[in-house]
Amino acid sequence: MSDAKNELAVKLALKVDEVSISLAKKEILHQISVALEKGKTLAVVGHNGAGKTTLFHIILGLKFATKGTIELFGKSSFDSKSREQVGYVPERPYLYDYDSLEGALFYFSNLLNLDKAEATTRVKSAIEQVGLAGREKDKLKTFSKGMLQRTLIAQSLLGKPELLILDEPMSGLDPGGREFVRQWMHTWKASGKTLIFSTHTLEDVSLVADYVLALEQGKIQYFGPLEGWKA
Amino acid sequence: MRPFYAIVKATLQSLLRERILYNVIFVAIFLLAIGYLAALLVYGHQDRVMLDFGIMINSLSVFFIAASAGARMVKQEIDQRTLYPTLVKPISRVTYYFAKWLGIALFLGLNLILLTLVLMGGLHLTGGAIHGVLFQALSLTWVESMMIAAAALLSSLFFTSSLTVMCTLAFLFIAHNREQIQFLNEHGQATLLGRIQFIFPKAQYFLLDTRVYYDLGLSTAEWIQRAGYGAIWILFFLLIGNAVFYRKNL
Repeated sequence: MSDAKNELAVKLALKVDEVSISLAKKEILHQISVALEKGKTLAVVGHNGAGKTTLFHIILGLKFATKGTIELFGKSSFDSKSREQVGYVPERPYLYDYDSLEGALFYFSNLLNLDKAEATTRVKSAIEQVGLAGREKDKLKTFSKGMLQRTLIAQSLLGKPELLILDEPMSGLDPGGREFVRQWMHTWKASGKTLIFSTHTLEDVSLVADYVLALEQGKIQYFGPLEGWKA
Repeated sequence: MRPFYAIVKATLQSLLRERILYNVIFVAIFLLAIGYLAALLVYGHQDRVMLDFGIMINSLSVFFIAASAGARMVKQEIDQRTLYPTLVKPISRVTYYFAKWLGIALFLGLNLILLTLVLMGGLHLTGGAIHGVLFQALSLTWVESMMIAAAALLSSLFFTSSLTVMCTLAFLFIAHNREQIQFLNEHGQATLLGRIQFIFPKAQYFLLDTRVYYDLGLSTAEWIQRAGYGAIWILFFLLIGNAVFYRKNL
């Protein structure tokens, strides 16, 4: 039995077990349980205020669950090392806008404890992957929303993550920006890595997700394979 | 240590961009110039007037910068959420908090060096000599300003930035009058402040203006004792701040 449990833990990228959180005396999430295997894609859907971002914040250690536990690749989310294999793209560009693109990415490389040579290689590669080559020296305050979104994606790639969490990645983007992010999500999925994203766009769910977590006022409305949700 | 230094550097760079802090420095330099002019109006001991005025201006401006920077650096990042991409990296909140404080501490050191150079210029112009005790006084001013920054960082986890600055300056005022409060408490004038006085440091330990005035330097042991006293209070505020920040929902 114990061996079976261990085997399951090795297979899981994320395990959320009976997680609840109350903020300002209001219950935001109620007994959420989710398990996601490595290499799978999970779409988190729900209306504004359903608790999608709060769930991501708990997974990433930005907020603390009132009850329940969370494991990332078998490590408790309390342990900062649990985030070694995780990349995160927040909904809005929470960046130091006085930095240049390159400066911002080198800052994040340093946070990942990369030496200079490795950081230079990864920064260059991340900039190329998000199609911002040639803009390295430009200040982030001159960037459009779409370019900032690409910058956020670039910073999330620096640690070569196995799991990527995208919080409403299409929000506020023009059609070109949406198409870029959508294509990019497909590429990520094709690479066999794990992806979790939240969205309001049902088309994105159908095209990319393997599993769906539907939240309604902090409670699970549905969690399971895409086919079941469609039905 | 690379992540730690990256946050220290980012904090320092961020502070170097804060316009309000430059305004404080310009006002301080302006007041030092006024001090120089005032010294010229005095017959004899012009250097002492410059010294007295200069140390006071240096201390007050660095203390205000410490309160302001401490009130804003973490609070601003929480409000603007710019700490999200940082804290989702595999670094601990303890590292982040200490690095933020160290960034502020280095900025305060730079400010103090700049203002000291201006003060030394004024002393030179008024024919005053520069003694070692001046540097002892300024080093303790730096220790005190780092303590103020640590207290402001802690306070900013509970209050708005402007309320934090006010609370920190009130804290500073009480800390500088702790001996009087203690005296009143011991002589039948017991107040609430008297009962809770022990949560405030004795900031008089860091004041050497009279000693500078009469060129009465501290021995190395005395200096270490006073700086150590400040270091203990800094550690106290940082540890409490860390304990709060460690479990704070962001």
